[in-house]
Amino acid sequence: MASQDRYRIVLLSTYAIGLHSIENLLPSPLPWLRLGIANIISLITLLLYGFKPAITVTLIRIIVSSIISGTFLGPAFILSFSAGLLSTSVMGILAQLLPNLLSPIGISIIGAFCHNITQLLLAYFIFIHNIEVILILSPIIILLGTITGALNGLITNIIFNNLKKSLKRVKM
Amino acid sequence: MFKKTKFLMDTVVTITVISNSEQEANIAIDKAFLEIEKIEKLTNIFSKNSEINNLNRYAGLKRLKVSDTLYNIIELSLNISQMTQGAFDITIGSITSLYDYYKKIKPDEDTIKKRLKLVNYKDIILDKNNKTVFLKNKGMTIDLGGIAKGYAADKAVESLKENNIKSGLVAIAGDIKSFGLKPNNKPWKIGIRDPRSKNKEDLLTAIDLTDMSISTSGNYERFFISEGKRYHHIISPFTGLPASECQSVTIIAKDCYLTDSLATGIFVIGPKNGLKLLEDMGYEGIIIDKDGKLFITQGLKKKLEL
Amino acid sequence: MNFKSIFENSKPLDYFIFIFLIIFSLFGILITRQIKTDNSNVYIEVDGKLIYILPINKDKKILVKGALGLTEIEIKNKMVRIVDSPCKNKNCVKQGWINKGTIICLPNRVIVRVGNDNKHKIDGFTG
Repeated sequence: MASQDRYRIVLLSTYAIGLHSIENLLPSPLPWLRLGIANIISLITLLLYGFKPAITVTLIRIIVSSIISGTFLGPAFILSFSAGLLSTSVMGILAQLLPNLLSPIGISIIGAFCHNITQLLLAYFIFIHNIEVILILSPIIILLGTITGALNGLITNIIFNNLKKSLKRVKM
Repeated sequence: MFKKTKFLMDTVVTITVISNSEQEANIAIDKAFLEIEKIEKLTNIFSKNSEINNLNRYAGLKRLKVSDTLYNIIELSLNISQMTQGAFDITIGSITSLYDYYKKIKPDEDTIKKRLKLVNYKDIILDKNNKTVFLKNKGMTIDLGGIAKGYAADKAVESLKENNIKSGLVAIAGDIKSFGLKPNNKPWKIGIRDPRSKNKEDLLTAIDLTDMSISTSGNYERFFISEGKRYHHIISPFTGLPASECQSVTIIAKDCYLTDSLATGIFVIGPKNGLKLLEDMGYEGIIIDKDGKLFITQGLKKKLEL
Repeated sequence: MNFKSIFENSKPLDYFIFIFLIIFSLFGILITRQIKTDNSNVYIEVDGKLIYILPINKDKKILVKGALGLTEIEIKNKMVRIVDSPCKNKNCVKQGWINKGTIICLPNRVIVRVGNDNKHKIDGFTG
């Protein structure tokens, strides 16, 4: 990777880690109910610079955040890592194949959905072998995920649209 | 696990035991129910010929020789009276009899004032050698409602143990005593209902009860509302009126007669001083004051991470 | 930063997927609620003996004989109540419909309990 790419990745990763940390400082009624605003960075990276940088930024964010919070290699980390990997990949495929059918809003919603599904499935198979609990939680998690995914998508859209305009003027 | 339920002492009594033999379990359970029935007979103030009513009839007249069991219950009650400095007092009977929770009847101020003179546990004179009880003043009435169920639970557990049962649970309404562990060394689990919730199934928490007892006194068990005020069944021996500082008190300790009576006494004492008394005596408990605030003993807080 | 561009470039498929997932998950919530109440049974005990175990999702009216006479119990719309009982105060009747918990008619010695087989695994209740 060119040094400019490396620079970008470091910068974006830092933003992502920053957003994630700030979000963690905010009180939340339920521990697993998070806005996931760091995903905005992942999606922007994907849209501007492509799949590899996006995956890199996402995974760096997840790994570094878990090291900071002391949960590295713990159960939460395994769930986040896998979900982040899968959802970013799916978003990458969508952005590549269907740019005319989906805007960043829709991509973010589907990304959130994939993220949640991955976590629910892994949680069931690896940790909570009680299908009842998973079944009862799933609809609620998906509902909340859809809403937060849409919100993140809208924010990503604003940023992306503004960047597009300024990028049009300055050819990057 | 074998479980049987009977209606005794004006409430639902359930005895659960762990045993390898159904026959052994049933025999033990039936014998334990008999013990509870025995205590019901002596302490039932609604039954004309119960020993307690007999005793009450002799108030101010002469001392009466009583059965070992009744003597024991009264003696233990006096200990609790001393511990709670009169907040628990079985002589409250002369005032509790003035309240009718079905017909919504409550006594007037003057009657309460007069009757309060008859409320004083110190006026119960015991003679240990002859096993006699003397109620000093005419009109004194003993009501064992605040301790009988707990005492019965203790006796029932004793009986189960004597009949070869190694693990069981005796629940007389909310006065519960457990001993031993369930299969796989699992402890007996008891749910503490949350009186503040409209839903009767909502729990404050559930605790593991191993070789201990638990009782709860609440202002929602028997009551009626008159002119916007709640008249419930836990009457303060100091005012003759229902104690109003607490909504419910749950006590955990070894003996059920203690958790039963102390729950009533602490209810009267109030949350702050009540909590202090519990901590000083080394018992665990939860007090919910009239505003819904929780007061929990240190030991219990740690156990529950509430 | 131009905030007006929030919906700019949005496509119909975005909205479709959003609405689809919302409906899908709301539906899921409704279904799991059904499953939770579907599993319950109504346990009727008289004098401490279990006389009937009835599913709560089947409407039914039933009479049980207790110490004082007949208590009428009704199961309807996944709820149960005591319709009438030969007790003086009819406290049990006043409790109305329940879909969890217990109604007791003490004088007639009847207990109507809604049991959820998966519940707490609690052995006793106080308070």
